[in-house]
Parts: sequence; C-alpha cells; structure tokens
Amino acid sequence: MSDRPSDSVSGPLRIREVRLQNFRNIAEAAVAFPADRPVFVLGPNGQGKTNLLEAIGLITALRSFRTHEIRPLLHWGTSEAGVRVLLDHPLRGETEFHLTLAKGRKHLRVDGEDITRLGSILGLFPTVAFSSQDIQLLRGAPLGRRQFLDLSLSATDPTYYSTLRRYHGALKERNQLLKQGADLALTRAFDAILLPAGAALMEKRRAGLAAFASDLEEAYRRISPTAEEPELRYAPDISGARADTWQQTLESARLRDRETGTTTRGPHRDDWELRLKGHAARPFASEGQQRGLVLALRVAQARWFARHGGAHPVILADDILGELDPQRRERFWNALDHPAQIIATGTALPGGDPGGAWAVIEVAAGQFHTAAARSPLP
Amino acid sequence: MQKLLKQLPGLGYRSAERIALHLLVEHPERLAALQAALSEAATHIRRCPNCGNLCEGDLCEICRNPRRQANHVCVVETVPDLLAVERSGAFGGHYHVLHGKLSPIQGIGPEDLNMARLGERLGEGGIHEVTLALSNDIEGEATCHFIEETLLRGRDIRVTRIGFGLPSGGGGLLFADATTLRNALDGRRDWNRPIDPSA
Ligand SMILES: [Zn+2]
Repeated sequence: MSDRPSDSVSGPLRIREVRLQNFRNIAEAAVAFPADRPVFVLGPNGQGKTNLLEAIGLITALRSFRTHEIRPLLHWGTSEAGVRVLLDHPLRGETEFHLTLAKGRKHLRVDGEDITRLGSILGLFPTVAFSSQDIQLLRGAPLGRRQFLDLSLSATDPTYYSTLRRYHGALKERNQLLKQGADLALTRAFDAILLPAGAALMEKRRAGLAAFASDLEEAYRRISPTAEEPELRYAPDISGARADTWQQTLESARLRDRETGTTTRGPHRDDWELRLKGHAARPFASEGQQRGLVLALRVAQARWFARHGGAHPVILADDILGELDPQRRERFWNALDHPAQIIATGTALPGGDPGGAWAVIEVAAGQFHTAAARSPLP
Repeated sequence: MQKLLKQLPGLGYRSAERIALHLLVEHPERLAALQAALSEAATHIRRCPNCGNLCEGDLCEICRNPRRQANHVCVVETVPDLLAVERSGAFGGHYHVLHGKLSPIQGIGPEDLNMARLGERLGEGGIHEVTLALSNDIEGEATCHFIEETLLRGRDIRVTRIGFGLPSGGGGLLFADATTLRNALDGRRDWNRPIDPSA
C-alpha cells in the first residue's frame, strides 16, 4: 500500500541516550544505552521502569502508550517536562529528538529545528511497545483498535495522515454545526470535505489492513505452534466501505444527526476484528490464543514499520517477558526482527536468549544505574 | 501605551517598548503626526459598501476605477489577501472581501461574514466569472462550497478557484509571493462543483 519500496530498510533505529527532566517520577535522569546489546531495565514495580520506556515510545508519534493526556506525564508539582533522546537513524545518522511537554502543549525539536507538523516526523522514529494493556486491542473498545490502525498506516503513508486530519477537522466543524442546529446548506459545505476524505480513508484502511494481514499471519505462525491462520477483518461502519453508500448513509442519517447533535455514521466509527478458524477471536478464542494473537499483532506492527518505513523499530517490551513461558519467550525472540534494538523491563531477569547477553540497567526511585553485564539464566 | 502596542499583530514586548520610547522620548515630534493620521483614518476609512475593501469616500479605489473589469470578481478572505493579489499584478477585476471564513468551532457563520452583499452583487447581474481565492484549508474550502451552493448554483457564471499549490497551513494568501500568485491566477481552474446528491 505504501509507495516506498519494501526493501528501503537499511538498518535498525537505535537509542543511544535518553535524558529526562520532570518526567513522571523521574526528576532528572540520563540513561545511556549500549550499542548492539539488548537492554533490560530491572527493578521493583513503581520505581520508573515503565516511565523510561514510555518516554522512549514518545519519539514515534509524540503520544504515550499509556495515556492520552499530558498532565500525568509531568513530574508532580512541575509544569514542564523534557524528553531528549539521542538516536542513531540508519538513514539520517545521529539525530537528537527533544520534546518539551507542558499542560496542553507539546513542542518538538529535531536536531535543533522546530517541528510544527506531526506529519513531517510520523514514522521517522518507529518504536513498538509491547505491554500487558495490549490485550485491550482484542477486548477493549474500537477506539484503541482504530488508533492502532491509524498509527500503523500514518507512519508508513503520509497521505493517510493528511487524509485522516482532513476528515477529523471537517467532522469537528460538522459536529459543532449539528449541536447549533445549523441549516442544511452550511452542513453540506462541510460534508463536501467530509465525504471524499472519508471515502479515501475507507479505501486506504481496506488496502492497508489487507497488506497488514500478511505480516500478521507470518508473525502468528512464528509465535503460535498450531497451524491455525488468523484472519484480520475490516469492520467499516459504512457497509462495504463504499463511497456511494457512505454518501447515502450520511444523507439518511441527517435527521438523527441533528437530534443527537453529532455525526452518527462514518469511518470515525470503523473497527476491525481478529478471527481464528472462522470465528471472532474475542468471544471464541482461548486465553492463550488471545494472548498469542495480541503478541502477534505487535510483532506484525514491528515488521510493518520495518518493511514500509525507513528503519527497524525499537522494541519496547514492558514487563511482558515474565508472563511468557520459556517456550513462548523463545518463539517471541524468533519472531522479532533480529537487527532491532530491544529494551525490556521487568522485576526479574528473564530466561531465554534475545540474541546476546542483556545489558542491565537497575532502577530505584526514578534513578537509573548501569549494572555489570549479565548472561541470561539457563 | 506599551501594553496597547503589544496587542498589535507582529509586535512583541521588546518592539512595543522600542516604539513607545521612540515616540515618547527620542522623537516626540512624530507623535502628533501619527496621532493625526490615526484619528484621520479612524474617522474616514471604512469598509467599501460594494466590496468590503478599505475605502475613503463612497467606494474604494478599485470599485471606482473604470479601467477594471467589473465582470470578474475575486473573492478573498481579508484585505491583506486583496493587497497580495493586487501586488501580483495579474488580476484586473473587482474584489469581494469576506472578512473571514466559515468556522463553526470559532463561532463564525455566514451572517458574520460579508456574504449577503456578495449575493446581492451576483443578483445584480453583469458578473461573468467569480474566482474563489480562499485559503487552502478545511474552513476555506467549506466557505467555497457554501458560496457555490447558496449563491452561485444555477447562475450562468464561470467559477474558478485558486489556493491550491499556495503555501497552506495558517498563512493563507498573505504569504504567497507575487510570482506564485501570478501563476495561480493564470492557471486558475474551474472549480469542480460539489456532487449534488439530489441530482
Ligand atoms: Zn470596493
């Protein structure tokens, strides 16, 4: 679906150093990451392991994988947080990412240059965060699944992101009109933007999900020992995701939209679902199958970024290794792209080999210390 | 005084301070002239009742100028946009200044814009082409659609649109240089009219 060639990947994105200021429970920290070694951030819960991973995850879309608000990211009693990440980018070379967070405001500089459009950096610094919350991709509300899809496609197709912005911009204005009870001509002036943007969005989602499905199948094959094939199905709000149906639906929902004061139908209500053996995975698959599926979704996202973006994403594994049995952990390493940098957290060093001895960083009360290298447990 | 100056567009704290000191301390003689010019402007300059441009007297200079083609009207959002098109030297017709664009979120509806007068002008006849030179964002485009649907539909008027290819994102026409604008005006294309679902 992307017009970038799939062999454009020239290497992994690597984090060299992270400097945090007033970020969550971390007043001030500078953490260096060794080159060519997987990193394990070790420590009891509540000390700041996940906070470090969360800060690194911000480089992809300036969004936390834990919250959509800025306020919880600010150290208690402070009004501004700073996240500086020194990276090695396979195409750009050494790059400094500097994000300043304040209430309701984000400011980004890349190599000292102000970045005013998120679209210009989306996909440049790919990371994929694995966390226990991922199960919500299966069990949670459609919003989380739409965000997963939107991020995956935005990071690899700049026109997807601009179409998405256009659609949501027109939707916001239209909803405001519906709340005011404005006349038809005014509403239709915004429909004229909403309709083509929505149709383009549905088309891109359909094509994107179809392409993503092959990465998912490959990832699931490597993670799950059985021969069952997962199926990724687009569940558009507009049946058939057709442009003409979309226009008719918007027309016939006009009265209801006015009554409810919001646009009730459209791709902003799209969803997708995972199926196994012809059944929806959510109610029918076993606990183990569901966990395998969401793991495969993230692995597939990493493959997707690597194939369609410019770099292998940094793998952020937040406290998930302890949950996997040794066999599954082994398959997880095997499923990941080998050159990718891995940064994991946990309360104990896991067994299994991620492809080299862990470099261990110990954390206590928001302070990070590099410990001596340790070999994985047998 | 410094506070008032700071509220002007483009002036920060420092430049407001410099201007205040310049007028009050360094060159107080200029203050009187400026004062006179400002109050003169405040009493005499108003909106042209025909097109919304700034004017002294009954009509603005452009509406008064017999050498300009009255049958071609360029619709712009603001007076600075009008001046930018004028500087390009590529347009010899009349203007219509809306003084904004539709934005329900910012509480701007058609009644807040110089929209009704545009309807009157089109109804008076004699206009053969309308060029919509509104900004290239959602609100600018929606305003084009609204004008098309409520004022232009069914009239025998050629509708063209420029704005595409101009720097988008905040600037509107103001930051387009003369060459870009000239190219945009020369290459202006017929506005692809919105699909009529009732047709
Ligand atoms: Zn005039």
